[in-house]
Amino acid sequence: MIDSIEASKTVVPIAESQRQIALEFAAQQPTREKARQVYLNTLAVLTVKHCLDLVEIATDLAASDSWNPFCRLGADLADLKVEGAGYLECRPVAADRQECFIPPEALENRIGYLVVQLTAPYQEATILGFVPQIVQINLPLSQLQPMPNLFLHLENRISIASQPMVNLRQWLNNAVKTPWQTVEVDAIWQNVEDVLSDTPQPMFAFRNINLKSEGIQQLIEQVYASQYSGSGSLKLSDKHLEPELKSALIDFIGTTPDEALRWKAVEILWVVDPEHPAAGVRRIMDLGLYLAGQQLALLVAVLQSRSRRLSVLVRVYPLREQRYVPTELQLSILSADGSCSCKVQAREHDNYIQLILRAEFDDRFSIRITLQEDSITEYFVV
Amino acid sequence: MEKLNETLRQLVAETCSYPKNSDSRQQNLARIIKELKSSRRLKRGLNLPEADYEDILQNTWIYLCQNLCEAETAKTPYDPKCSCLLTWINAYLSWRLLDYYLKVEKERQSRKFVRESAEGEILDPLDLIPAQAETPPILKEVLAWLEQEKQVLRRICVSGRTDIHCELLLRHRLTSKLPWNQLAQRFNVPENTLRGFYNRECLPRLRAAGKHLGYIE
Repeated sequence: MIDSIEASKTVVPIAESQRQIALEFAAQQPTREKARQVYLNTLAVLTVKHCLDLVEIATDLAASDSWNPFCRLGADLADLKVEGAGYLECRPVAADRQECFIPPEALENRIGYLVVQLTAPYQEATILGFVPQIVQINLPLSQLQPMPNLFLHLENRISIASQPMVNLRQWLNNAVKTPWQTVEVDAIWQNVEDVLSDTPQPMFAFRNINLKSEGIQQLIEQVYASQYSGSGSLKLSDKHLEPELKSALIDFIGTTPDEALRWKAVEILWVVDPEHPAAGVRRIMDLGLYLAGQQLALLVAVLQSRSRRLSVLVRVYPLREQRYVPTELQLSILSADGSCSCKVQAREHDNYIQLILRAEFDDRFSIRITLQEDSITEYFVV
Repeated sequence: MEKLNETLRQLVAETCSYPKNSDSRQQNLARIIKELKSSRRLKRGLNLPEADYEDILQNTWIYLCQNLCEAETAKTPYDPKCSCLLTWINAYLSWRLLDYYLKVEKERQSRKFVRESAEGEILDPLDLIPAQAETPPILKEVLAWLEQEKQVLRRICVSGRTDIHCELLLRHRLTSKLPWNQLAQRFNVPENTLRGFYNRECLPRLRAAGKHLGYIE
């Protein structure tokens, strides 16, 4: 048994009824060339759907653009929605090609790409393999991974999807009507303002952010200089920024490419104008229940950047009387397949530990906090 | 479930710490297989005879032994950072099951449906589509929608370019066959801008309209 790409080519019979559907869709197209494209796209989608049906992985054709007559006309799409995982693109390719072209329409919002070889008279299709991501629009077929990797990728996503998840976009939209599962998950997440108002100070390090401290002064000057070339006068008082300086700060938050600086600026905004939309949304979870009675809190703050991406700050704070987080405390972010994408461990006298990530629509990730034997994992979807 | 995964994780780490082909490694591999078998979480498959499923399982255990610690037949060995063992094994099992079902299907499939022309040449089914005398009804429908919505769609434009709006781009994609790069040249904007705008602003509206009109087969 050789588990090479060669051996994992999967030959799938195509039924007459499937060709009939493809022909029907093709007949709705204005040109011969477009009809061919739709015919092949439809067969590729049906081939992959058939395989997933056989191994009981649920799909939803009706929710796929390839099954929407308008989208078929207006774009070159061969997507198939896999329940609980996302959209797979099933690209048809002719025999003896070395590359598969991925149309621009299919570059976004996909969990993977399958390449399906189709040749007239389309009695059977051969699935050549799969890639989880595209790095170039002409996908070299030599980069394809064997079919077991596709199933591993799907199973991973589905098993993560079956976890109760916190929807970060709903935090931003401040959606009240969330499905019951998320309400349950969200119940442990409190608004920072609520926590602060009924807890004696000082509870969180950021509560005491000092606008006159040297680091903050420096940042504000930097913000100011980046927005206005002249040397404006800087007048800072506790919890107060001049309006033009505040608008410079907000501009800076929206435009800086430096994520760490962006969040520093946001922290200032949390002090001077926490309600401002540019300050994003932040929520807190008491970790005491999960980590051996430790007085720790997990803060997750979310900002929407101009490119529709989300910037997420994840920080673990000491609570109440505790000043530092315990050494050995670990914070990690795991990507959708469960692999660790970044990790940080507390050193002595750390006031907090944090990680920053950028996420796109439909990205899934989890946050894991580990202290000695105990750990807690929280799941998020963007 | 968490407990099972934890047990398996420890077992895997221990197994791979023993040298290849050692008795300890073999004994541990047997324990892993026993744990997996008794977990009741292995992919079972529908409608296949017990004996055939046993064969598939047997092959799966061979795969496990050969690729858990070192990649002998797979491209890469099992990576505990990527997935839990059960997911890894179920993924392989899925592929074996698929392979099995497709073989059965192939045996059943009759090949008499291949259409041949008089000269014995295999016909392309696409040749069966009659040449379009006029605009297909669905295209008419989508163009009617575009016309009806044009006031709204014209207000949604590429930032800083009021002349490049949703209606214009949709009309281009639906009726002309200019590739993206030529379209970008014509409008004098980067191709990426155009594609991004189409994907984000135009396609979702087209999708919604297509759904709304109940044309989902």
